[in-house]
Amino acid sequence: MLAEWLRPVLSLPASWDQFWFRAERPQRLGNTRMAIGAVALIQFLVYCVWVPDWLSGHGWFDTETGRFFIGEGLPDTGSVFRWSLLFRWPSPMVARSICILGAIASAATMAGIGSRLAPLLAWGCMMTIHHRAPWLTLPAEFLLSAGLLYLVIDTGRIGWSWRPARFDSEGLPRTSVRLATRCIQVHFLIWLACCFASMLQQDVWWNGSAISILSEQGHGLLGPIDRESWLGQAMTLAMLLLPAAAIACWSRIATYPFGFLAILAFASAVVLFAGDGLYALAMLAMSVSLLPLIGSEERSHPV
Amino acid sequence: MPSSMNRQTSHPSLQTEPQALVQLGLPTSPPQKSQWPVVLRATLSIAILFHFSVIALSYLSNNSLQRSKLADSLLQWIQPYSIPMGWYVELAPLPLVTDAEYERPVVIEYKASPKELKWTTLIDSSVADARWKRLVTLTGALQEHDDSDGMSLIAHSIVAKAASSGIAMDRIRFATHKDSGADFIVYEAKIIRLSEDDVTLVPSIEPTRSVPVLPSQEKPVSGNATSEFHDAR
Repeated sequence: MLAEWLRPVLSLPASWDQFWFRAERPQRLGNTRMAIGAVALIQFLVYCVWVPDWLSGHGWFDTETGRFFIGEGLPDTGSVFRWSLLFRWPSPMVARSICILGAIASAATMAGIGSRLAPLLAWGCMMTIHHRAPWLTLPAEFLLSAGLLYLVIDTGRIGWSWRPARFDSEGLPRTSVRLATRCIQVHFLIWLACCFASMLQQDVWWNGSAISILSEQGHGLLGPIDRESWLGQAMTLAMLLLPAAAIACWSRIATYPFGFLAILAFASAVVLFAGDGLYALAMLAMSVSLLPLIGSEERSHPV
Repeated sequence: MPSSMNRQTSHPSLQTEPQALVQLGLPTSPPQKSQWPVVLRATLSIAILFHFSVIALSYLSNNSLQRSKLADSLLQWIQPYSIPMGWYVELAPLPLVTDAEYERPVVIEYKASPKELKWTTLIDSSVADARWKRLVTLTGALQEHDDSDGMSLIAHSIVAKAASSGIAMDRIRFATHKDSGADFIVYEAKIIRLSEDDVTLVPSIEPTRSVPVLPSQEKPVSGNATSEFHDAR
């Protein structure tokens, strides 16, 4: 009887070990890397447009203002731990170079060139922009920077990434692939859970006006939606439930695809009502790590 | 067949996932043993626990409720790790929208000369890009906390950049439209050019900060204090 009770507890170390460190083939991580790399590339192209104008020494958000808002010189603000080349070299040319370097590194990450160095470089460029003006950061950057950092553990590369995965020496299971995939998955699920929790705390998600307010403040494709309309109220409740639905679906492998569909619906709502396309793309890129490998080569090459 | 392909385990707990996949018609992937030594896995396990505890604590702390003292202390303690990596409190994940007063659209307007009666719109955050929206949200939050230094810095930065883009300003203001229909002035300042490249801003709400108070200013004033001060001069 006691042994029955203790069995799940005793199997915890083995389950933990299998969850994080079981060797895994790199195809799923490779797909995730391509998705994250592609969205990061778009992000850096967007950076090229606004960062030199905004974050250079005499930009819209100049260096002095930047230092003030990270709390430089004040205790407990953590400003000493912020690092940005743009504080040291605030010229528009340096800002532009960082954006271009980040775009190249993201493209290399997407293509699987440059091994671990490419996502590390892309992450470094993203963080140096982020630490210059953290209050101007949008949600997509948080997800992308996390994804890029985890890809430094393993990029899931199998030769040239745009070819179908081959069952060659590089396509063999690797423990580092598993660890990187799990980190991306767990980070994204924590994000979703906390996103859901923070939405629950806001009145507007309960009284049905959130979607209307989002549409008023954002650049959604549907334009402003009347606060009294049934569409706005119904969509608010639906959007509130989607992160919870995604998490619930990802708790069982049989419902994984529905989890992805829930995120797809959530991302679509972000585009339609808030107009934040990059956030939607970043969420979808991270959720690729949770997609089952339907029709992959693993099926035709059982070990 | 390469030898590493034979790395399989027959641990019973690992059989459930492939079986479920077969039932679903999804690909089956045989369980594989870890290729790393136990010591490395144990060390990494501790690192993973620490790392995701930091992430969860930071993300969970971003809410509208009051944080516990323990959470505050822990957040302070993990700053050397969380801040350089970009995982810290009060930024993400966002609830997307809160309907807070400071999230309302803000219009940044200016007057090119003292003689101009009408304000010219520089930025209307309701139609501007996401970066301007973030900036005006920031100014709204500053105004709510009566942080005039932060407001002045942002306004100064905008005035200097506008000047370098060929837009001359005499006054600048941030205004928001209330539900009542009236415009609410978040911030307004007179711009004084000190040199070719340098300007200073005199906020309207605090006219005595940068200029001496004249006897005529000691009586109660209404409306725009700075304009009245300049009119008196």
